[in-house]
Amino acid sequence: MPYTAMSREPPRPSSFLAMAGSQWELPPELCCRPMAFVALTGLDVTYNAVHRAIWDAFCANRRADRVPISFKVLPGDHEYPKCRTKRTSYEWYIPKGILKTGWMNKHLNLVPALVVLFYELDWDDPQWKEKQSECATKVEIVRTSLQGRNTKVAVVLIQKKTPLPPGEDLVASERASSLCNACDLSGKSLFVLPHTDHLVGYIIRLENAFYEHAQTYYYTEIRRVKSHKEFLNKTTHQLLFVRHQFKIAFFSELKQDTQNALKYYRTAYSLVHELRAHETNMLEIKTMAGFINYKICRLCFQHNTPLDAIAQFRKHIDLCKKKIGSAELAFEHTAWMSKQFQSFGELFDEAIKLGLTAIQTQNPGFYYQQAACYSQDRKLMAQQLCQAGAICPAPDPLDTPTRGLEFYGQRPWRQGHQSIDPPDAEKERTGILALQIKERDVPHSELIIALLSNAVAQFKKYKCPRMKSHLMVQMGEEYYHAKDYTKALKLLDYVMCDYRTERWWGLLTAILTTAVRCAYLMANIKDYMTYCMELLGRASTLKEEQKSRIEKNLFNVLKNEVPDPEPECEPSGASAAAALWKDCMALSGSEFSIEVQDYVPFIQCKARFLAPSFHVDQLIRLQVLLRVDCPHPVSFNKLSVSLSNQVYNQWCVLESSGQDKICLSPGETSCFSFNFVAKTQDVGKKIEMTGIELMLGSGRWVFLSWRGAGGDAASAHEALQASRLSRPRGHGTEAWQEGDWDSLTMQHSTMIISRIPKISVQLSHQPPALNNEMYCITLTVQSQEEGVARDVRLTAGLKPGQDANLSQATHVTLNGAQVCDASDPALLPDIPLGDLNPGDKVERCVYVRCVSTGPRVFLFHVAYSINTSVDGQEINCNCHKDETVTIETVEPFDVSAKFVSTKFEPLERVVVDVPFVLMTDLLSSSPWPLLLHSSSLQLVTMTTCVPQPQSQLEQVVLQTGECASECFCLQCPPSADGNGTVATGQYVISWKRESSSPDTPLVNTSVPLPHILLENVPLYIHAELPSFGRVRETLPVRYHIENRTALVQEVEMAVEPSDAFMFSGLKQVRLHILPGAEQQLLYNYYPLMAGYQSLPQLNISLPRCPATHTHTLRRFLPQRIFVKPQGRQLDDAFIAAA
Amino acid sequence: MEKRKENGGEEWNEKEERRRRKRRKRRRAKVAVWGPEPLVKAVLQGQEAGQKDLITGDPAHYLLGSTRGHVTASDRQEDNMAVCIAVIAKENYPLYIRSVPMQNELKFHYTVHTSLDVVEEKISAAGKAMADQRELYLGLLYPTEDYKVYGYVTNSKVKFVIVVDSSNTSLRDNEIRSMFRKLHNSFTDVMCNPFYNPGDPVQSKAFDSMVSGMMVQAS
Repeated sequence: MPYTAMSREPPRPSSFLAMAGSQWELPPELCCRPMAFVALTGLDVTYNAVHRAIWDAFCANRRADRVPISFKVLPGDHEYPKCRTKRTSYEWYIPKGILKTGWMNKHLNLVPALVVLFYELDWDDPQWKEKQSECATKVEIVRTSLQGRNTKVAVVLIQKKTPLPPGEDLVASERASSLCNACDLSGKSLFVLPHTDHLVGYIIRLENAFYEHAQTYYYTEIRRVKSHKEFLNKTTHQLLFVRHQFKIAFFSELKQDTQNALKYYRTAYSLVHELRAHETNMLEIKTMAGFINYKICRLCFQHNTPLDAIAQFRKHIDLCKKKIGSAELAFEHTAWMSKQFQSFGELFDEAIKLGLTAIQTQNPGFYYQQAACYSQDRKLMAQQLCQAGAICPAPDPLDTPTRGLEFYGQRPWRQGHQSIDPPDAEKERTGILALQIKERDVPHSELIIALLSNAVAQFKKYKCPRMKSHLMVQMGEEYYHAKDYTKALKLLDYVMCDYRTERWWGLLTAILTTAVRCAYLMANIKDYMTYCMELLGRASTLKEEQKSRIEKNLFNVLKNEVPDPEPECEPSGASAAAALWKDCMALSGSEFSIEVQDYVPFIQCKARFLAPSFHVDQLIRLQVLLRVDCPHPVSFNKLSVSLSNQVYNQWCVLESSGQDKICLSPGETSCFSFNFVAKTQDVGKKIEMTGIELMLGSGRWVFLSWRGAGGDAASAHEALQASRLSRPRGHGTEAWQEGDWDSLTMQHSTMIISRIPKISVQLSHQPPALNNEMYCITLTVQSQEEGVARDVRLTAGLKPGQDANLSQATHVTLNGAQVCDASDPALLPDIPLGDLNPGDKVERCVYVRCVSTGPRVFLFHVAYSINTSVDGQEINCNCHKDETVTIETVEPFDVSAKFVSTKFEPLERVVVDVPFVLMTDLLSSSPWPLLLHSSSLQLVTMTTCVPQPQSQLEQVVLQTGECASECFCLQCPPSADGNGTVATGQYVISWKRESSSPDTPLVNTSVPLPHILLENVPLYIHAELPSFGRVRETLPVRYHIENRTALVQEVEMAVEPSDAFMFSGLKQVRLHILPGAEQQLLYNYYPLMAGYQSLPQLNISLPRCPATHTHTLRRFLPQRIFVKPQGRQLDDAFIAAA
Repeated sequence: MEKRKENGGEEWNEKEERRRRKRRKRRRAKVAVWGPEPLVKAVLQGQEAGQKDLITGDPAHYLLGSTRGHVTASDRQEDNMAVCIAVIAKENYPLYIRSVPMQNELKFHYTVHTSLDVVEEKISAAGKAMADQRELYLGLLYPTEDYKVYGYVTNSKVKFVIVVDSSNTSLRDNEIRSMFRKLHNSFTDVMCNPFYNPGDPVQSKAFDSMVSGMMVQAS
């Protein structure tokens, strides 16, 4: 039974089970499915191809839909078992047993329900007469052999021709009836098998007919057995009641009437328990009860009523559990019980394979497990009852003349004996002795292991990992008993980890105790030490004195001496093991390492860096804490820590010098500290502990190794419990000093970070930044180092990792003399600032131009290198300091522009070739005063009325919220095509902060001006008049009327009277104006009232151009005028004099 | 007298249990429940809402009422007949195991440990459907030839396992239930001890003596 660790599946040697348990094995005829037995004769399957084909059609590829018949080819003159003469009375008959051993086989395989004679004969055979009589003779031979039985005989004629439909072939029907007469057959028992293409079809029809005959046969057999009942009496024939019920049930099964079979088996089962049980027939009763129970359970599973099967089995076990029988053969009872459970488990398993669903709490595993349990009991009893050294009596009482028993479950030395007392006490004694001797040779352990492995397979299937582990422990223990220590260790080692992770220390200790024995007996040093170490550890529940003993053994091994044998090892094994150990010790010098992390070893180890990070100019400090749990002090030779960078390993070794070993006292925490200086190239890297090794031993060296920073299978949980108990106290670096080992946390890695820079970086600037300006940030770096800071470098600009658009809209330069453009980067890297002596200061201006508003983060990164010493070691460190600043960018001012007419009325459209006014407002939104250097217009289509006007805003200083306005008189040249929108141009403002130095470049901000709508008018009229009038003084007004079309325009004009004015001039006039020409009309107005007065209204109409009417033209004309009151002459003179 | 009291408690618990079941049926019809029952409910199911059990004391002390007098000690002779009682932590390691002395202690450890397979399965099956309404009592976990193993899971997933000899037919489901309830109340007291760290093995003497009372007395 090879057990491979690879498959993790214990072996299932079922064939072995069958062999070793042969005495208790259920007979195969009981376990098979009974099928009607039909014998075929007259077939020569060896030499006749046709017969062969027929036989093949009967027996080959029988599928489930074919009728259940077992066929057998027998020679025509086969001798069937002789039928004993039927008893007519049971009066003086005393049965010798319940069921004969041959009975089931006889009806399954020897006595057919139907004998079929095959005979080659066509209806038109020329030698019909002779053949008919030959056939009749053959039938007669079969009949004679079956004398006294109810077996039916049938004849099948193998014909070469296809028969005609019934009734048409007169010769055939006549000859058929004559053949029936000759053979004494009923017409139903004569068949014709044409040997044609459709052989299988004919065969299926034939076998259905055979099946009916067989059914009838078994029916009559059942009737026959039932008829015996009336002759029986309850006192002497109790055994027969059981036997008959069993036979009826069995015949019913053969008849495929499983419902009735079940009924009769159940009756038989209750009858078997009514039998008077005593020591001599106990085995027979149990055997039969077991058989019948098996049949019942089997049928229940077949009928898909598994609960009935389970209930029956439970009942069976409850009834039989106490029927132990002879105390000297108690192992027989347990063997039988084991077999009961095993066979039920197998039935259950088989039903599952056919589609039954089992559950976690009801699966075949439990039955296998119980079977194993009884097998274990059997082994114990066998060990108690079967003394070694007894010799087998001769002649062997177990030998019978027929090499077998006549009845199931009887003793070979007193077969057929049914009275209470054994006939011969001496025979009885030797018989029992012979059985005990035989039992001694039974390989119990192998039986148990096979059953357990069956159970393991089941429990694995039904999600019972713990049950599986438990059974594997039992298997391991059984292997141990069977002295197969390698397999035992493999199994135990495998399950140990389950118990360890679930923290069932009691169970783990028990398993370890067995394992340590195995390891001892094999002289497996490594395993032996590993298990000893765990048994000494805190997870072990062993008593102190046992721990002392184990510790002594462990130290012996470390001294390369033979350890004492484990208690409870059998002496012979122990002495063999001692020899093995001696051999091992001779081959000394071998060192090995034991990975203890996954165990709970007797030395606990926790290591930690004292901080999660160290600066490169600091000493890196780490501690290894050790604690031993065994009863006596332990000393070690060497302790070493390996780190991820192996360069440091040399600093982390502690070695005992000479003979002085380093000693660890039980229950005390020993702390070992290591320091080392980090390499500068490791700045920014992590240093991890990869392992810790502890060397033990004096004659033999063993390395205990922990991965990472130590800890073991139990420490994580202990730390969790400790953390629940204690309130958090900082980082807990010094916690262990308070003696709380559990709450000590491991720190398996540390980060090496750069040295803290000793420089100051200051920024001075005036936020917010104004859009587009050259924003100046002044950076001051001052060294507070004690040495020279060499190679100081500045990286300044937009901090990377912000919005990608920002880097396009930000430009950084060191040159403040000119406005930077898009070619300048957003970040200036590595600007060298030279070396800095202690206390020195360096200042730099960095100019930033932001072309979009919003916040930005700027980074100023100053890096330098410096020499410093750590622990006497000179190192060159790179330090750097980062400053970041967030700067908001805002617009410096808002510009608005609007168009008005020369009368300062807002304009929707601008009339071509007529002057108008552009007004701009510039509102400062900067928190800092702005100096406007100049402003100008960059016009596209317009022209200014004044050539090259001077800016009205020159050198104006705007405070926050102040507004600067400007006017420009513009005119749109006539060339522009008619109506439509026209771009005006840009308004350019040059400015800077007022506070900035004179050489700061100016910022030019251009603001696009709004577009305007153009309009053409056919007639333009404008008036020429003084700016004011005076009461009763002439006010000359000249109206100019221009024709702007290419046609002669006829203009009608009239002046409306007004209360405020008298006037002279044409009151109503009609005139023609040539294209492009101008007419002038002169009026003398004479104001009558002072104040703002409406001028007399001009009514103009163009008969040719009705779209243009008075109203549209009137907008060009002034509406009113201010009239001053008349001054006194005197006053005037006075004024003139003054 | 002490024994009588306890037995009285048992009887009361049994009656209460029956009433409780009826009420549970009624509650489905949204009928208001009156009486001491909601308090019991709070003790039995609502406790251990947080890290620790919050309810102190045995509810029977103040809820017993007058039913106490009706029961005589002789009614309950076969009471308290466990052969092994175990308390298992949420993480499935033992907090407390006590078995009848004289018998193979290891075997009981294995029995309790293997029964956790069924407990886990039952919890996970119930957990999916209705985590809140899950009954704490899990019933018979699995039968062995020699023992019956019963399980109970508190809301904080602490498991109680009681092993009873399978020949002991006098213990019915109700008795087992009330044993668990006593166990739970006593365990609640243990949890309320401010010096007890949840997750540590139970070493309370009061708990131990309560368990002793439920065990088969070694003769």
